[in-house]
Amino acid sequence: MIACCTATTGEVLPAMSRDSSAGIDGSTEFPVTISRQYAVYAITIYLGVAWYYVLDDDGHDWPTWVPAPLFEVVDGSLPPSWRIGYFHFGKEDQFPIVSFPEWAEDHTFYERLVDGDALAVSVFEERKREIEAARSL
Amino acid sequence: MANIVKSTGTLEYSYSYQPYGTFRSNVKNDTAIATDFNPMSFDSEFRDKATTGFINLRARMYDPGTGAFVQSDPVSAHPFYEFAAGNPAMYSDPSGMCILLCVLVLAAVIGATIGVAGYAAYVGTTGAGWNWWLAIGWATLGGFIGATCVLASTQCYIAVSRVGTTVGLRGLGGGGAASVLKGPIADAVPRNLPEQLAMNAAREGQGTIIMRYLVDAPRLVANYGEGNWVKMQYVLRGWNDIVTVHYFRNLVTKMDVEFKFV
Repeated sequence: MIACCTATTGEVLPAMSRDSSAGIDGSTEFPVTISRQYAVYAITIYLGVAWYYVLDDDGHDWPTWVPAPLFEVVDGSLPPSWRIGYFHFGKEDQFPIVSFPEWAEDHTFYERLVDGDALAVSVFEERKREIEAARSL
Repeated sequence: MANIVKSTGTLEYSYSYQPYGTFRSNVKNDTAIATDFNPMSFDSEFRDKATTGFINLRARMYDPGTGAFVQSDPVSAHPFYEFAAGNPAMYSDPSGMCILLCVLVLAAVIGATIGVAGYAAYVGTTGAGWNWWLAIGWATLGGFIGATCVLASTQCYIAVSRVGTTVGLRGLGGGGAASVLKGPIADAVPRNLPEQLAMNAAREGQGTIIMRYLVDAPRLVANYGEGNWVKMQYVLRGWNDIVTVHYFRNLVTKMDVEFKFV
C-alpha cells in the first residue's frame, strides 16, 4: 500500500481525533512531506480514524504512525500475507492492527521493534525488503 | 507549593508540577494580584525566577529543566547530580543531599534500637545485671548491621535496575518461574546542548503518543500508579542529527517518567 502525503499538521484531523493529553491537536506537526509517497507497513485505528505506520522523514529505523487524513491512497492493495490482529484490553480498550503476520499476531512486536529487539528488527527489515521489492515491480 | 489563598479564602494562584519540578500548570486566579510574584514553588523552595529558573534545595541548586542538580552532592564521595534517586514520583529531595544517607541513618537508628532491645531481653531472661558498656556495644552492632543491610540491598537494587532485565525467580517446587517487576528507571542525563533542549521540550509536554498497550504497563503501574500508560516521543530537528526522546506518560494523571534518548 502506498499513500501520498497531502497535509503535515493535525489541522486536518476531525475533532474526535484530537487529544491534547496525547500530544495530538491541530498544531501537531507530523514529520512527513507534502506530495511525497510513503509505503505503509501497518494500519491501526485510534481516536476514530485510521493511522498508517510509515517510515517518516525523521529517519528512524522503525515506522511511526501518522493519521490517515494526512494522506491520499495511491495504491490501496495490501500484500497477500497481511492479516488483521484484534486485541482486546477491556471494553474500552480495543486495538486492531493490519500488517504482516509477525506484527498482526503479536501486539508487543512494535514495542520490541522500537526498543531495538534484534529479532523484531530483523523481521521488520525482511518485511520491508519484500514491500519495497513489490513496490518496484 | 500548590496554592496561594487569601485570608478571605480566595484562591489567588494554583500550581501543579511535573515529577521533576517543571510547571504543569501555573494559573493566576485573581486578576487583582501581581503576576508571578511568588518565588516559592516546587518542593516549597525558592526558585530563581529572574535568571536561571533553578530551585534552591539548600545544599545545592537544582535545575528542574534537566531534572538534575547543577552541583555534585556534597556528601557523596563521587560526582553525583541525580535528583531524588532518579524517582521523583516516590521521593523528594528537600535537603539536596543524598537520599541514601538519610535512609542509612534511619536504618542505623532502627538497628541500634533492636540491638539494645535484644540486650534488654537477654538481661531480663538471664537475670544478669545491666551493663551500659554492653548495651552500647549491642546498639553499635545493631546499627552497623542495619546500615550494612540497607547499603547491600541498595547496591543490589541498583545493579538489577542497571542490568535492565526482568528478574525471574524459580519457585521452590521447581515448577514455573515467577516474574518480579523491575523498579523505576532513572531519566537519562543530557550529554550536550541538543539533548538538553530535546529533554526540556519533552518535559514541557511537546511530545506525541507513539504507542499504547505497553509491555511495560504493569511495571509502570506498580512503580508510579494506576492509569493509562503510553509511550511518547519528542524529536528535536534542525541540528546535524535529530535527537529523539522517548518517555512514558500516564494519560490520566499526566505524569511523565523515564525519559531516555534513542
